Amino acid sequence: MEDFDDDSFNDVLGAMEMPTAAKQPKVDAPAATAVNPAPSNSTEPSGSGRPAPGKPASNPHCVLVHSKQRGNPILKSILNVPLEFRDDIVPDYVVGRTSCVLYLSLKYHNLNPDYICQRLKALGKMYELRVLLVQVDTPEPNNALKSLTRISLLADLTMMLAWNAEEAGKIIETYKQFEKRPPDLIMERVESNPHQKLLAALTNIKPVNKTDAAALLHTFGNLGNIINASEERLSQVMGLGPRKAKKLYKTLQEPFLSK
Amino acid sequence: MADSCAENAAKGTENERPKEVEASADTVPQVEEGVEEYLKRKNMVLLDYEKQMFLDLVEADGLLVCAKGLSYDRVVISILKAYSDSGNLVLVINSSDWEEQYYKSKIEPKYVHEVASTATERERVYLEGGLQFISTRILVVDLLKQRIPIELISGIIVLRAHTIIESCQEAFALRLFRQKNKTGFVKAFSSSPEAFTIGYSHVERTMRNLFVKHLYIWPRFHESVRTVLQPWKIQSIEMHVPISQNITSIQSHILEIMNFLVQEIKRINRTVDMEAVTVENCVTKSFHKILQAQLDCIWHQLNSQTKLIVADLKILRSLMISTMYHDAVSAYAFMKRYRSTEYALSNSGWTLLDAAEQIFKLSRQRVFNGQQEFEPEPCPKWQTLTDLLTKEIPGDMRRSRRSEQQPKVLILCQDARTCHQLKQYLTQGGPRFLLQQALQHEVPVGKLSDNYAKESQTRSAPPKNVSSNKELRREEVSGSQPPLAGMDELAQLLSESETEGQHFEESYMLTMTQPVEVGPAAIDIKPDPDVSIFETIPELEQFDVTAALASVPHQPYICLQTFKTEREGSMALEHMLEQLQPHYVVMYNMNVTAIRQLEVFEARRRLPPADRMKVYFLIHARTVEEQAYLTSLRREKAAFEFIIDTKSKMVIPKYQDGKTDEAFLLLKTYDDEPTDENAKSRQAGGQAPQATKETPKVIVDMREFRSDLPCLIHKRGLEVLPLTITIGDYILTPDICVERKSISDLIGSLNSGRLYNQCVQMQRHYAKPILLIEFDQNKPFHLQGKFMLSQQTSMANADIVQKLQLLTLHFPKLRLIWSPSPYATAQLFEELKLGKPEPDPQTAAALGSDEPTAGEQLHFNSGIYDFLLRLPGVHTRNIHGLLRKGGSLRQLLLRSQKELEELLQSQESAKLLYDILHVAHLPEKDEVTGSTALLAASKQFGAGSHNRFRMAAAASRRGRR
Repeated sequence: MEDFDDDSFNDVLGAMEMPTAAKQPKVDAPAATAVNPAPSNSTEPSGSGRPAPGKPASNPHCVLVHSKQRGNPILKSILNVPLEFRDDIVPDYVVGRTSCVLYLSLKYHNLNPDYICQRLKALGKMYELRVLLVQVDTPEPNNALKSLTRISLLADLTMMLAWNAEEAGKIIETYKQFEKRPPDLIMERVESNPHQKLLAALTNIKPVNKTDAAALLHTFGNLGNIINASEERLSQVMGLGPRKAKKLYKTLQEPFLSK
Repeated sequence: MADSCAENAAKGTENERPKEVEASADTVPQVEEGVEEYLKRKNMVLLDYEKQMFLDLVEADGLLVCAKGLSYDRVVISILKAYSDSGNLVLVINSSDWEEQYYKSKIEPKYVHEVASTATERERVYLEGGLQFISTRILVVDLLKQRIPIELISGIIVLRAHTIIESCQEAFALRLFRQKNKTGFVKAFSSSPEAFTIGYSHVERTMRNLFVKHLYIWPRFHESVRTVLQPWKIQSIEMHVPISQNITSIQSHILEIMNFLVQEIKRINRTVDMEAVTVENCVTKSFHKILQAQLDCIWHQLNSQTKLIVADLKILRSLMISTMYHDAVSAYAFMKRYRSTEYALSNSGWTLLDAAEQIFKLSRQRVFNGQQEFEPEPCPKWQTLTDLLTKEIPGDMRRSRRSEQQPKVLILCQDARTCHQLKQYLTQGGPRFLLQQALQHEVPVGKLSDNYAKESQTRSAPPKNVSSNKELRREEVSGSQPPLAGMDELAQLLSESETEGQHFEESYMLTMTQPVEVGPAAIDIKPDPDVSIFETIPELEQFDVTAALASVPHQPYICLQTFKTEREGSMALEHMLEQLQPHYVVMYNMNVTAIRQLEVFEARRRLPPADRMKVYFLIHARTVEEQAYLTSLRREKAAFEFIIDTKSKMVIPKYQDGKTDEAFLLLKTYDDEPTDENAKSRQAGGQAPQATKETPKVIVDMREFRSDLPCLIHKRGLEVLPLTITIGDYILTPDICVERKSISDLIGSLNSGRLYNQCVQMQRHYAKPILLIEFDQNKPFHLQGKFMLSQQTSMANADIVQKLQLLTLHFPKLRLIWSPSPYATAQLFEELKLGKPEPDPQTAAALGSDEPTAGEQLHFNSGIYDFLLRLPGVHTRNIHGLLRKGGSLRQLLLRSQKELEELLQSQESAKLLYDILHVAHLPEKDEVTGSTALLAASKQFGAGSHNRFRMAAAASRRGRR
């Protein structure tokens, strides 16, 4: 009995590998552009064949919750974000135009190992960020987490752990609140002084260090003059040799779009 | 000399073999005779049991476990000397700093090599042979990169073998060594038998990780050890010091509270095994280790009350130690800290018990008398120590007709604080020292009692001025100005306490200024017995014992020393014994190791009974101190009995030494056992063709060898390629890149922005970037801290999870792996690699470096993208529009501020960007110095070019206006 289940499990995982290959070209884009979500949104409803005109437009500030999740205790912890219950969404929670959350309790997973595979079949290729929110509520979670990790890697899921219902609700709430937040919170702190900012920007070019950047600014006065200078002129600055000058010139003269 | 030594070793080997074949009864004495001659020539003096240790280890590799104090250091030195030769390469691993220094000082410098810092230098030094004390992390990388000739290694010596666990670097190095070298030796040493009783089958696993088949056990009750030590037994005298009623009461009340807390822990956690948590074990020193072994694996399941109780048990043990060994004033100050409102809110509630109230009251009673006057009681052992030094030892010297010799006394203490306490007591006197402590600990001294002021005044008087002393005493008798005397005393000590430093030394040397003589002179001293006769020796600074002895040739010499020091560890005591050759030893505290070392030292000297050391033990009978000592003895005995019992039942496969290929084939099979049967059969089927083709590879960054994961990856059969890579930590396939973060690393990287940059790089160059969040195996699988004592902790954890979510929002292709331990991670890596191509080391090394990759197909040029993102006015929301329509930096320079506004969708951002491109910005004040230097440097280019560019800047500024 168990052997048969594992074999079907492997078949499901093998089928799951197909969408992964199709998504690889998206890695070329450094970040999702503002225009991209609109086409994917329009494509998905028609792909699923749902009657779009019949449904009212959802409030962009609401977390869409599937009706099956009504009894979930984590809903009590979602305090700062309004909820809207729907029957026509495939994931458990929709926290953004390109983000969704599947909720899974480890206890339930141990009792129903195939449940998550069925959910993934239904989900297909929808949504760019697919979060598997796992609530760790068993004393020995290691084996279950290992299998869920493999499923997540094969099916392009991002797994987040929560150790109690309150944490799980907090995670869903945060995903909604952070939907349009820029990543400044997790980036490096930059000085507010313009001179410091220029030093940091020039230092970011690979072979240039802080001393070189200061020498450049002192010699040329402003950034515009550095950009307009020739490679030979750049190499005459104290501390910059021909190699650094060549690299700096190449970066500054580089077109924004690649050919 | 070296050649004859090698020849002798070869002869010894040849001689042993035919005798084994003959199996005659004369084998053992003849072999011993040969070894004895050899040891004599090497100038090594070993006790009989040490010879036996040496013989056992030379005959067969093994793990040697001996009792504390019966040091194995001479056996190690003998083995190192036997292999001191250019033709041998011997590595010593897992040694602490003081062990390394000690062994190096005992071996000829010609054969000891310093570990070089560069790989090329190390490669050359390896080929020179000799002895190497090497860091295991460096050794592992050198073994993996084939820098060290593994076939030529003569052997490896492992110290502190009880720390060898499966995931540590030493086991990794030994496994790499044994896979390619079947002839070298492995010899392991440990003097910690208790460590082998922690965990499941610790002895067997350690021996398997060390690739040794023999276990040599040397407890103190071994027949050979007892035979050697019994004839040269030291003269021991136990002096039972009664403790004061207050200390006894405080002690019993603390034990009462501890018992209550232990019962409370067991009541709350019925399902948890709490067998080792008893009041007796709470008192011992290794309570922390016992508790850690039992509770850490389930720490996240315990409720907060249990965690608070565990913390309070540690505090109560500290209070017990403070009451017993510290002076009354320090103990009172320490106790007062736990009677505050803040502590009452954050502990488990023991301060509300009646016993706690009694403890606080009695602690105060030790310092203040009935009228609330300052009158602290002295430490119980102080008076006994003074009697020993001033009466007992001089009397014994006289009786044994050693009066012409210089008496030498060694006082052993358990820590530097006790050493300092005794030094201050002997040089200043008890009352003065206690008053000083009160001022240091800010204990309010409202009023000195009359007796106390009198004592303090008397002690501070100069001893030689008899007439002035009598006058002072006459004034005191009249009682005209006792308060004034107290005030002067306070002012004096205040100035002194400001200058005195708080540094505690581990060793002090004292001498007595007045020789004790029989005759009329002694009569004058008797009326004033409390005058201090101890003073420090100036040579203390250089720690030169011979110079100190020479400076006071006819006066008694006293050395205060701790059982072990930071610089020399437990060897410090042996070092001091050799140099000082003391006549008398005072054990101010009890310590099993120190007593053993004294016994061994006496056995080596082999002096007649009259010339042996006299050891005085100052013990508080029937107290916690004696109980702790007896408990440590019993636990050591139980540990040895456990190991002996384990050895009798141990099943050791004949391939465990790794000298045949069976060991490694079976190791792989053993590794597959934990997985389920279906996975095993699938892997076996899948691995069979793969094994014939090539071993799966994992590229590991050089910095990752500080962690356990590379060792465990190698243990699962994967090949580890150490490499310096700038993107990621592990490369599993050409598509999969893993960045590993422990919890503390994760928090630091998220806060500093380093993790964001790392994810940008991984996403740019690999199709499947993975962030591995790895928990420690012995720590809770939980993001929260161990103690939820404040709101701040909870908020900090929520902040970390939020930042992690923000990271996943901006990198949708980043996968998170939550791994409970490195073992689980290694298993997961193995599964991720099934059926996938192997990574290319050259490609991985090239990524992220200066040279662009040939196959790079970015939509935006990454260099200019990163540059623009750091300019003012450009951020993640408007940079894409700028990149699409901007063209290049030169074209951007030609645009007006109005046009930039359209590109950036913001007037403010456009102004910022326009200013940074066209306006010169001066550095701030703190950069003026740098600018001056740059200005001086730029003048060397010539005034002409400088003026030309200044005019260009002015023209640009005019154009803008």
